[in-house]
Amino acid sequence: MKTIRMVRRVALTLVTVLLPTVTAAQSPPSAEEIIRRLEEHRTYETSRAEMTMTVSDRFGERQSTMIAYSRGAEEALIEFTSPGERGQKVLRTEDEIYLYYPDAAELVRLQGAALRESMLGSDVSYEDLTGGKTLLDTYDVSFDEEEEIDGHPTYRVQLEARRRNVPYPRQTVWIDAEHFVARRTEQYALSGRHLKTVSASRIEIIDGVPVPMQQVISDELKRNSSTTVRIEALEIGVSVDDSIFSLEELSW
Amino acid sequence: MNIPTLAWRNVGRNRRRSALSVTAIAVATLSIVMLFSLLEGMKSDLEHNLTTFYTGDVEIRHREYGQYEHLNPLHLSVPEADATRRAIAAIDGVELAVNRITVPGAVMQDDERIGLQAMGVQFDREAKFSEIRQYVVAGSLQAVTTPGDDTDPRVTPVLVGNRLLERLDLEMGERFTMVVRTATRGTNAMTFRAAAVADFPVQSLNETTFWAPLERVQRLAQMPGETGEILVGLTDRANRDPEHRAQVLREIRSTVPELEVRHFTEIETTYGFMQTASNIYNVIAVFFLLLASTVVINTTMMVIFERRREIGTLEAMGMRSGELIRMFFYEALVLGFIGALTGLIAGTGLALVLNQIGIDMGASMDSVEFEISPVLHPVVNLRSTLLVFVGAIVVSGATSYLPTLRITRIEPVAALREE
Repeated sequence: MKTIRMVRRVALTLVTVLLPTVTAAQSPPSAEEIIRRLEEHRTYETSRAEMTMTVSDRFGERQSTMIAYSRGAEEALIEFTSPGERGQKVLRTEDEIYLYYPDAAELVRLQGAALRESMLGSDVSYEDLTGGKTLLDTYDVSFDEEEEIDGHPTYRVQLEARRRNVPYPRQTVWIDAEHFVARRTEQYALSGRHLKTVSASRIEIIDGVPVPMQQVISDELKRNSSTTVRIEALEIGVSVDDSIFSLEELSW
Repeated sequence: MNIPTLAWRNVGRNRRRSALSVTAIAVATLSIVMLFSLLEGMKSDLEHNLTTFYTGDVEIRHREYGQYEHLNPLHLSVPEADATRRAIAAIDGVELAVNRITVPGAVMQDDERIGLQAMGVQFDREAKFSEIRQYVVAGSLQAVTTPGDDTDPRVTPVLVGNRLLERLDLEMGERFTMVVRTATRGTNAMTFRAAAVADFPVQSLNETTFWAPLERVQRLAQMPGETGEILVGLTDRANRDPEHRAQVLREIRSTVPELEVRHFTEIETTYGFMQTASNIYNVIAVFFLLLASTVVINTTMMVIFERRREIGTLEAMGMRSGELIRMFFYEALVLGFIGALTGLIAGTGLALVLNQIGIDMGASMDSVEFEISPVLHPVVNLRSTLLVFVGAIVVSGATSYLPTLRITRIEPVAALREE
């Protein structure tokens, strides 16, 4: 009996002493797993968000407000509500982007090079809105190292595009180790030229999903320019009418 | 002995050689007269195109616009456009003032982004300012200024440059939708219908620009009541008299002290380049004449060699070296005068004929980004033509002086012994 008690004490001591060590030494998830979890948090079955976009450039700051609806990874509709662009809409369907302007009698369809146009003069291009394939479908991913970003532990992951016709052939993403959302993303051209930096902050849990409520996008090719996108209100899993993602509905 | 008469007689002694010298001077003079006439024609064409389509005689715009022009800063505009334009138009020395907004943008077609620009104008005023009606080659201005049969109020009839229509792959009457950055630095788009087609004398205008009613472009660019610039046409007196012009400019500046007011010659344009080019061409003209004068030098030298015995005889008869030099110098001067006069008459005549019929530079001007018309009309400038005439005589006379100096080295006795 005494021996059994002794063995149990030793075992408990070992567990108590060694378990944290084992946990600490546990290797981080694979790069694929990190990216898969990141994408889970980025894609909602349906959502409705009220957002504010502040564009800063050499002429000062300009603010636009919008309501964005999304369904899955491929369908999204942005409707601008600020006075300067009230009624303008951006519709994303798979690989195509359509723009609706109340002053125009025709929809504007963006394809190819036209997708590189800036959305409302911001650092966000229409290309950034194109959905379709997931990151894992498009990129080879590899884990770099663990690193702290703004005091938060992150996993640094490298993404190398498998095909040439992607907006950003190379990306470095720092993914929050706790929430699995991108804290920072650097996007590069095939030549290695730094194109854009996206920094996320104010992570909140909404309906169980961690969401970065503020993102700052800087087009590194523009001087003195940055765009801050702030989510003012977000509903996930809301009922969204099928028709709002249709071309017929867009021009109404 | 009358030396000029003697020189004149000597010119006729070897007519072929004299004709060669005269021809060389004449061809050089003709070429320079034509060169200057072409240059004058280009300058005058450039001035017309710049003041008509780009700057006016005087351009008024926001003070900071030029600094950020490359960023298309539509927000740096002229407020209260119509009241400001009226105040400017009321100034003595101002004949006309028009508001214009130029908005760059793009038409998205398939995978292509076609760049173009909308020029917002007041067609009734442009009819006088730019005489726009004369450039309409299909449709009519009336079709642009009236809503026509468009049932959709969002479709604006416009006047399109003929090359732009080709670039957009459209026929007259068809629509296109243009996306632009606005003055609020957002975006907007509007649909336009090619109701009329224009053939402007400036290729870049034909390729990139369409003209639309000012109020529609104000809406497109979100510039209600504003204009990008005010173009001012001065009266003939203000254009001719520099003092009066300076006074008019002062008055315009005091009327709109917060805006930038510039006479078109103060604006960095191709016109300034042409002014610089004129100076370069003056130097080239002198080289042309010097080149032609080598023929005169050659003729004079040959004449001196051939007439050594004659020179010796004249010296033996008591003619001094200075008088002999003067005689040969007069001979060269006579050849220069005849050649310059012939070249002047032929060059001026040719320039006047070409002024009427024009020189079609055609496709060679397509890639030229200057505001120069593809058909050039040489203009004879009296001052420069007379300068060329005098210059031709002076240069041919002066260059003949050097070979005549050889006369002083000729010994009369030795020259007389020569066979």
